[in-house]
Amino acid sequence: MIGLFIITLIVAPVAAIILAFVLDKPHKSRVPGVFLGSVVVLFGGMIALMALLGTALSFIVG
Amino acid sequence: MSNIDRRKFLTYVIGAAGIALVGRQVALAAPLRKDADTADAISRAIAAPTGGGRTADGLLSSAPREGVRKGMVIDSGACIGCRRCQYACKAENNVPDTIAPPWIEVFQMDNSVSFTGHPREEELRAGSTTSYTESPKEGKWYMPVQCNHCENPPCVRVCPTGATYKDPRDGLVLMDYDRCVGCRFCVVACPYNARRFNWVKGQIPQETVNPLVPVRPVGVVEKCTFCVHRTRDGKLPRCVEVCPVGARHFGDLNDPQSEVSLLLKANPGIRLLEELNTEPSLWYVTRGRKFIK
Amino acid sequence: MQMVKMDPREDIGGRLTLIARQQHKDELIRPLLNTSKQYLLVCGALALIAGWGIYAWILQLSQGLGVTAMGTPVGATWGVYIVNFIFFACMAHGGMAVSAAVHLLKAEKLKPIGRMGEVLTIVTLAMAGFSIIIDMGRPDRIFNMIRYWPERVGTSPLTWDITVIMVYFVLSASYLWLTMRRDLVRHADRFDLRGRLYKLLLIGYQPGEEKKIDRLAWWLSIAIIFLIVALSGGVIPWIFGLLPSQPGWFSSLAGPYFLTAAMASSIAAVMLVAGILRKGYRWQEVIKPDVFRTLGAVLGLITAFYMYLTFAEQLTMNFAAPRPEVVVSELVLSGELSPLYWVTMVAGFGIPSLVLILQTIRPAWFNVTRTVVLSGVIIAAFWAKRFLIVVPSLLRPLLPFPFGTYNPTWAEWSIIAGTFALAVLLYMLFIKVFPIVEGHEK
Repeated sequence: MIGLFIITLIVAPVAAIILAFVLDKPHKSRVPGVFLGSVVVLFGGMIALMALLGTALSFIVG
Repeated sequence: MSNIDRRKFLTYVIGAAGIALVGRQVALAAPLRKDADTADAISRAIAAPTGGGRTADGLLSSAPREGVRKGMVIDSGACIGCRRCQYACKAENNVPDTIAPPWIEVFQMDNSVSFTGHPREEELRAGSTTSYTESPKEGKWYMPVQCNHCENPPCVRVCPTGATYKDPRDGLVLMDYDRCVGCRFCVVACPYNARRFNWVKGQIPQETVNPLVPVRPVGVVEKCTFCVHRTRDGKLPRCVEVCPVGARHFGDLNDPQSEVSLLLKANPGIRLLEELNTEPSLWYVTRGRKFIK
Repeated sequence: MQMVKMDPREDIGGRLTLIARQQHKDELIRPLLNTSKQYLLVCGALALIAGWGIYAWILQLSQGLGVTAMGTPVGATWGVYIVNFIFFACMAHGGMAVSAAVHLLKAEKLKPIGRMGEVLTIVTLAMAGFSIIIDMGRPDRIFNMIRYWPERVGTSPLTWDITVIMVYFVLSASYLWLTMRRDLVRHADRFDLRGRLYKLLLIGYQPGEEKKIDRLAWWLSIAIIFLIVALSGGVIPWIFGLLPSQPGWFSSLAGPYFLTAAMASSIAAVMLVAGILRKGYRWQEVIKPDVFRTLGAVLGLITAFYMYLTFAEQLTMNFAAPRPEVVVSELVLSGELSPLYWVTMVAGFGIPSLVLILQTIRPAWFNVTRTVVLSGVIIAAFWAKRFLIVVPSLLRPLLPFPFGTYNPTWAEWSIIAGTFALAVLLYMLFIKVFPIVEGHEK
C-alpha cells in the first residue's frame, strides 16, 4: 500500500526528531513531558472538535 | 414496437408479483459494509477470477457469487441514440431531475470527434457536437456512456472514507451513501465523468419512486450501479432491457459462454481511455445497422 | 568630548535606566496595552464580513452545494473552496520557515518576526481546514474521515493530506506555545485577565526551561522543513498530480510547482503581516528594514523561479502534447481564462519579482513599503494562479461532453471573503491577548 509507505516516510523522521529532542541536553527537564502532552491534547482536541462539529452540523445539513 | 410493449408489461407483472420476496432477497444480498475488508483488499481479491457460473438462460443467477465479472457490451453501430436507456435508467434508479444529464449520457458522434478527443471549438460554437435532440441523424453514430465498473478504478483508490468500493463478488463498483462525505474526489478522479453529485436534495414524486433503489440524500455522489438490485436477482439492467434495437448486452465477462464474451470473441471491440489503465468492464463493438432487431 | 548621537534612553554609562527599560519592554507589548479606535473599527468591519460569510455558509448547509456554480459532469466539480484551501494551506509555511531560518541558520535579524509568522501559520491552517469543511457535501459526516483513516490511509491522497496537515498543525501549535512561554512569564503579573490565561498556559513551568525549549525549537525546525516539503510539495499537489483523469493536473511537476508557490506566497504573507504590524505599532526600530531586504530578495528569486516552472508547464502542454492538454492550455493562454492568466503572470508575478530582484541588486532602490505592497500583490496573484490550476482542467473533460464554464456565485465569494475576514480577525484577536513580538533577552 503506497500510502502507508508515504505516511511512514513522512511521520517516521518527525518521530525520530522528536525522540532526538527528548534525549538531547539539557536533561532532567519537564519540557519533553509538556511538549508531548501538548501534542496529545491538540490531536485529541482536533478529533473531538470534528466529532462535535459533525454532530452540530447534522442539525442543519440534509 | 408491440413486442417491446408486451415484454415491458410482462416484466412489470412479474416484478410486481415478486416485489416482497425480491426486496427481502436484495436487502440480504445488498453490499455488506459492516464486515467488509478494506476496499483495497477487496479489489485485490477479485484480481484472480475463478470462472463464473451461468443459469440456463445465460443470465446471472440471484445472489452474487465469487469470480463473476459483470460487464456490458454496447453496439455503437446499432445504437440509434433514442436515449430510451437514459430515461429508463433515470426512472428505475430514482435519479432526480436535478442530476442532469442522468447516469447515462448518449453522445452523437461523427468522425471529426474521436472517442477520446475533444470536438473543436468551432464545432461547439456551431451547435453542440455531442448533445442532440433528434436522432438518428445521417452520418452520425451514437455512443452511450456510463460508469464502466473498472477493474482498476481510480475512484475507489482515492475515496477517503471507502464509501465507494468494488464488490469482489461480481466486480461492481458501488456506493455506500451513508459513508460518503461529499468531497467529490472520486468525481474528479473518474476520467469518464461517470459520477454525479447531489448538489441539492433531489425531488422525486412519491408515486414514481422505485422502492428497490435507495433515494439518495443531498451531498453524496451517485452513479450507475449496473442495476445491482436487478442483476443480483437474475434480471438485466434496465438500460439493456429497454433498448429498442438491442444495442446493449450484459453478462458475465468471466464466463466464456456468456452473450458478452461471445460478442467480444466475434467482434473487434474497444474500451474508452484504455491507456489510463482503468480496465473498464464496458466494451464497445460495432456490428452495424443490420444487427438492429 | 565628541558629540555622539546617543539613544536618549541610554545614560552615560551605556546602561538603560529603569524607566527607559520599562518603556523599552512596553514597546514590544504595545498592542496589549493600548487599543485604538481604528483597531476596533477594523475588527467591527471584519466581523461583519465574517458574519455575512457565515450566513452564506449556513444557507449552503441547508440548501446544499447547489448554491455554488459548481456542477457535474459538465463544469467545475471543485471550485473556489478548494482554491481557498490550497491558498491557505500552502501559505502556512512562511512563519515556520522563518523561525527555522532563525534557529538553524542563526539568522537572528529575523527573530522579531518569528512569532508573527508562527501565528500566521496557525490561523491559515485553521482556515484551510475550514475551507475543506465548507467544500464537503456532508460536513456533518466529517468524523468519517477519522473513523475510516486506518482503512484508507494506504491509498487515498486525501487521507494523507489530513494526516500531514494535522501533524504539521500540532507541531506548529506546540512550537508556538512553548516558545511563547518565556514572554508569558515575563508579563503574567502585569495583566489581570490575560495574566490568568498566561498562568494557565504556563502549566509545568520550570525556571530555566528556555534552554530546553531552544533545543526543541532547533529540532522542530528540522522537522518543520521536512513537513513543509511533505505537505506543500507532497500530499497537497498529489491530490492533483496523480490523476490522469484531468489533463493539466497530471504532472510530475506538480510537487515542485506547488512547493515553490508555497514558499513564495508564505514568505510574502509573513512580510505583509510584519509590515502592517510594524507600521501600526511603530516598531520600525524593532523590525529593521534588513528583515524585508533579505526576505524580499528571497521572495523575488522564488517568484522568478515559479515563473520559469509555469513556462515549462505550458510549453509541455503545447508543443506536441496530447489533445486534452492542448485544449486545457488553450483555455488558459488564449481562451476564456486568458485575461486572468496574463494579468496574474505579468502584473502579479512578473513585475513584482523584477522589482524585488532589482532592489536587491541595487540596494539604494530598496524601500520597505514597496516591498510590503509587492508582497500583497504576489499573495493575491497566487490566489488567482491556484484558481487557474484547479478550474481549467475540470472544464475540459476527456470524453466529448460539452465544455464547461464556472462563474462563482455570490454565496461562494461571500464565503471566501468570510474566511479571509475571519483569518485577519483571529490574528487581530491574538495580538490583543498574547505578546506578538519575541521579547529581547535584556
